[in-house]
Amino acid sequence: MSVLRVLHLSKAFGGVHAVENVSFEVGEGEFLALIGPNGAGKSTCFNMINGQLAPDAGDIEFAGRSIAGWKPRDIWRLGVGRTFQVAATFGSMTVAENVQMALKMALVSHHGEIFRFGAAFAARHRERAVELLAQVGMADAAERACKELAYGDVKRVELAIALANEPRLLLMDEPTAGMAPRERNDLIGLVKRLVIERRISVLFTEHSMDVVFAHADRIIVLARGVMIAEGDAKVIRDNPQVQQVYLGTGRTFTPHVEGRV
Amino acid sequence: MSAAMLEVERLTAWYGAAQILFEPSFHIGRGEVVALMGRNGAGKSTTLKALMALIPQRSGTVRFLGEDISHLKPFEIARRGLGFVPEDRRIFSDLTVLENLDVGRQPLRHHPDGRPAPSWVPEKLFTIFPNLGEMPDRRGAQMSGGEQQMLTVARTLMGNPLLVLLDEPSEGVAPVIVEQMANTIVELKKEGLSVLLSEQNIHFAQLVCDRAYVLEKGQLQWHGRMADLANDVTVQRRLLSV
Amino acid sequence: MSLEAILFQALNGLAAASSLFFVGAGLSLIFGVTRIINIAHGSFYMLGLYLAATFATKLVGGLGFWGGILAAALVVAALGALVELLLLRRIYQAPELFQLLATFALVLIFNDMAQYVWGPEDLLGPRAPGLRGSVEILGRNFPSYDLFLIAIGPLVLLLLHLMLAKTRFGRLIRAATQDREMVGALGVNQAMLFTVVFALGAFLAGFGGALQVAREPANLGLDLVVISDAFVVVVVGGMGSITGAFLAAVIIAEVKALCIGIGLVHFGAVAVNFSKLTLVAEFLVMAIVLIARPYGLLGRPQGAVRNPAEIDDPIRPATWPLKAASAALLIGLLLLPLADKASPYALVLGIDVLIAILFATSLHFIMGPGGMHSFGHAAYFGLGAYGAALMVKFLAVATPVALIAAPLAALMGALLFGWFAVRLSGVYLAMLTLAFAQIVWSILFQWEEVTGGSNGILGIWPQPPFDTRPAFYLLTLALVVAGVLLLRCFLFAPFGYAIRAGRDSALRAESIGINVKRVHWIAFAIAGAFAGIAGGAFAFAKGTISPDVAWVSRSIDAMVMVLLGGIQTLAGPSVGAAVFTVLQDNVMRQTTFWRGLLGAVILLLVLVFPGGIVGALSKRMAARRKPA
Repeated sequence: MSVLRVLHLSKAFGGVHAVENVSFEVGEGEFLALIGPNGAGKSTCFNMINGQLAPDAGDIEFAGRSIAGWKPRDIWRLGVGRTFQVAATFGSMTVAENVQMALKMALVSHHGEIFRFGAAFAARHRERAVELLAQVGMADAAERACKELAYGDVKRVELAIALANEPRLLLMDEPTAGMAPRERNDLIGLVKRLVIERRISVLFTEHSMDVVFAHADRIIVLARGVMIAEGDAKVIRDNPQVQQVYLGTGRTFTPHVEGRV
Repeated sequence: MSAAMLEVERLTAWYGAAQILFEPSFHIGRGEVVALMGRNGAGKSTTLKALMALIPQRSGTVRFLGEDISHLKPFEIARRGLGFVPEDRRIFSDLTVLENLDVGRQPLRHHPDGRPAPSWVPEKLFTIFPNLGEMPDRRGAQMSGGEQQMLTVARTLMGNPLLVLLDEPSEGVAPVIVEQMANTIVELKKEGLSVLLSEQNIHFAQLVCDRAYVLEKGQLQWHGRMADLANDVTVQRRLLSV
Repeated sequence: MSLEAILFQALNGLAAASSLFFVGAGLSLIFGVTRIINIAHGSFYMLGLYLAATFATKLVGGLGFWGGILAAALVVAALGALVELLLLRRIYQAPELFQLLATFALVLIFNDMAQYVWGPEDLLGPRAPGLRGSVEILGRNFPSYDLFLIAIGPLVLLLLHLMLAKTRFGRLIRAATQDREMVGALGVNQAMLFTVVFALGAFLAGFGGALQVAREPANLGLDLVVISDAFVVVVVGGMGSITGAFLAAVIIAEVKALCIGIGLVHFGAVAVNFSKLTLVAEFLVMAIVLIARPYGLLGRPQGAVRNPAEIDDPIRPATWPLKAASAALLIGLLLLPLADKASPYALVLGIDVLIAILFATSLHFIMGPGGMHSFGHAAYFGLGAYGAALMVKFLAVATPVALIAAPLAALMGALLFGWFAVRLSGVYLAMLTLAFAQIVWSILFQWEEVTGGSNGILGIWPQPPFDTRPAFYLLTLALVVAGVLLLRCFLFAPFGYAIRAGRDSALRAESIGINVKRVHWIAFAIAGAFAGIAGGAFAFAKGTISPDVAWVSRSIDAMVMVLLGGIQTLAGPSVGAAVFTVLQDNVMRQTTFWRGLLGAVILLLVLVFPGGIVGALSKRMAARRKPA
């Protein structure tokens, strides 16, 4: 059963086809990687699924509803969480407040709720926020200002934010960019654990092939806006077209070795 | 190894109240390709920016070809022959490929011993970067990330530098582009260019570098031959989180 | 009105468009490269016109007139270069707001300079030799000089276009517009490039002004009139687009010309004088364009400026020593009326300070937590003041009723203007809010039947029991304390967090379900309403109000107060307002050239504390930790 269905999606910018007739599905509990050269249309796909861009053609179905052209905030309410290539958090708030903000928005039925002028914000949803932070290993930093955190930690906080609305689908745009190999494995391991515990589906883009080949259930390859391959790690690694436009000879990344730390 | 082109002593740099670099000292010889490695946030990019005087708060001595350049402005440093390729590419997206190259154009330079530095014109660059040659009039905004990555290197070469500071060229680009970049660096080395490469990806660094320095929390923790680092799993685990 | 008349009027518009285009193009060029919105650009225009009038009169003969125009523009260009070298070069790293403030300080200084040199009277230049006559077009006489102006606009557009597209200098300008730091790292002497571009921009403005010498007299009000026109041109055309500036200049000039041409029209019993609606018409054009294209006709979204913006610290409730200190201060303020007998002036100044505190705090509400840098907050102060005054004048309502009308009037204005403003950010928002304030001012100024025009409204005094000074002081104190505490309370509520969330990361805020525009719109309206309360109190405190209540300098005053106290603190605006008001009261009124003096004080503030007082302090602390 699929959570997300992308049907014949297309988007052009000033005559250049960023995404052309792309279709795929994300199954329940699936960990699906979207890879491809820079400018292949991965982020454009993400931005259409999460509502930042409206598709020119095609449809996006989430949990059986067509969400193409919806606003990000409405898509989020349906249960789609997102992390960004450059982590987007609220720098002037504490770590806990960041998550509280998301929880607050997750637990209200309509936007009117945010227009509350009286009650102090500080105590709201505090316990749940700390609980969520504990799950991403950031409970100790709850009181620190978000702007003071190291980048890897900011990514964890962002993950906690994205999980606040109990999403059924998590979109992660280059989740391990700028991380050292071990941090990468830690973060992806964490996400996979959450995926299994909470039965979330994950769609992610990534340039770090060791992460992709080690962890993705299935891989989709985009090039110049078109889907050129789909399959598991072995299929993708052995596909000559993918090697030519994306993977190269593999000299610059480690092929995954079983049992590596 | 010939005499050092770039000698750096006790470099410090600050962002506001936060000190990022704690006095690393290092040098790069003529024709060498040297890696500056370390985890994210270790201070690699900051080091390169501090060398280019792109960070206002800094101290320490930077000697380039024997001249103290630590008090010069970025453009003066560039005109001495130090080229800088930023990690986020920063090409001029409104300008075409040729126009981008033209902005980088500088007069021919010579080494102190009078030998000319490798000199570049668009035609010669297009032999190294054939992709760019196919799209001389394309605007930067319409290029793919990999093409932009090539352009940012080509643009810096137009300044006919003697030493290039290359900031994480493998970050966030497709493996096939990383591979091209490695070939390019080898190519540049053959031309006699020196390179300081800031990098996290040891597989990539291993392909191109002679020596390596490893930073952690702004301090120099290890230096030696690249081959030694590649074989030293303990150091890699400790300093590079491999 | 006949078709011929309309066409004829359209030609007039084209003649006016050229100068407008030059100013707009200069502003756009300078902004592109230096990222500074040069508010003094209107002053360059004004100085160009004054200088041309002087040169063309003093130098005789045909060469004198044309030479005079060129000389005037060149002098202005040199002045621009000087400004860049001595002032702007020091503040490129400073926050954007400080840069805006610095150029506004220049406006004040240049204006007083012009008054000192040329006096307060209008100065009329000579006619153009060789182009004194007129040609018959559409059965009417059209001045030959205006034909010349129509031709020179497109000519300069072509030259600028060729320069940008075909020369290395032009390529460097375009590259620097996108990433000036990178241009420097590629070996281009960026400092020199900046100076040259600034001089070129100033030249264009001076040239635009100088060309008008044969058409209109030079006067001291031109600087701000021209800058708000130029802002509209740049916003409509799209920041950074020279062709866009040309298009917009033509559109704006045409709309204005047609409004004047249409003149008085009777709609049944209602007579509307369109010639007085020129500013409002401009606003309408701008509003329509911005709804359809938020970045102007030919503009593109501006990339984030590479200036690591300082991020605020998390807000915390007041500590108990702070609470105790505030309580003690409040008791002190409550006891102030006891001093009324000994020094009556203390209460007058006290009321001024209190009003300033509420005004500044309301601006800070959107500027700090909201990140919306409004340059036209006086609009809502003015609407509040007039709202209260008009209720008294026409309906003779009781004082409390008038004081309720004040925030309501301001709220209406803020809801209307804020709807547009929150769709923009950064400098676009700053310019738009300034333009809105100019419109409010012009309505107050021109709608004589209702607002009393430049004379304003007289005799608005509080009724019993608030008719004594101590009683009115206490009323003001109550309003201000309640207002400041309420605004503070909002910031600690979910709503306040939502405001800051939208500022910190609109991307994240939207993707967790916050409607950022709506939240910021409501915040803008709230800030406007509280400024309205301050304005209402102001009307009663002074007894007389004039359109000055909504004038730009009041907006800037509020901004100076906020920056003086520290934009990143919640108590800062109050402290800044108190210090600024007392300072202004004591020092500024001692001289006729108080504007210039105020400008100098602002410049000093900007140069000595380029990151604000708080920023300067933290920098010093960092330096102390740094080894020598």
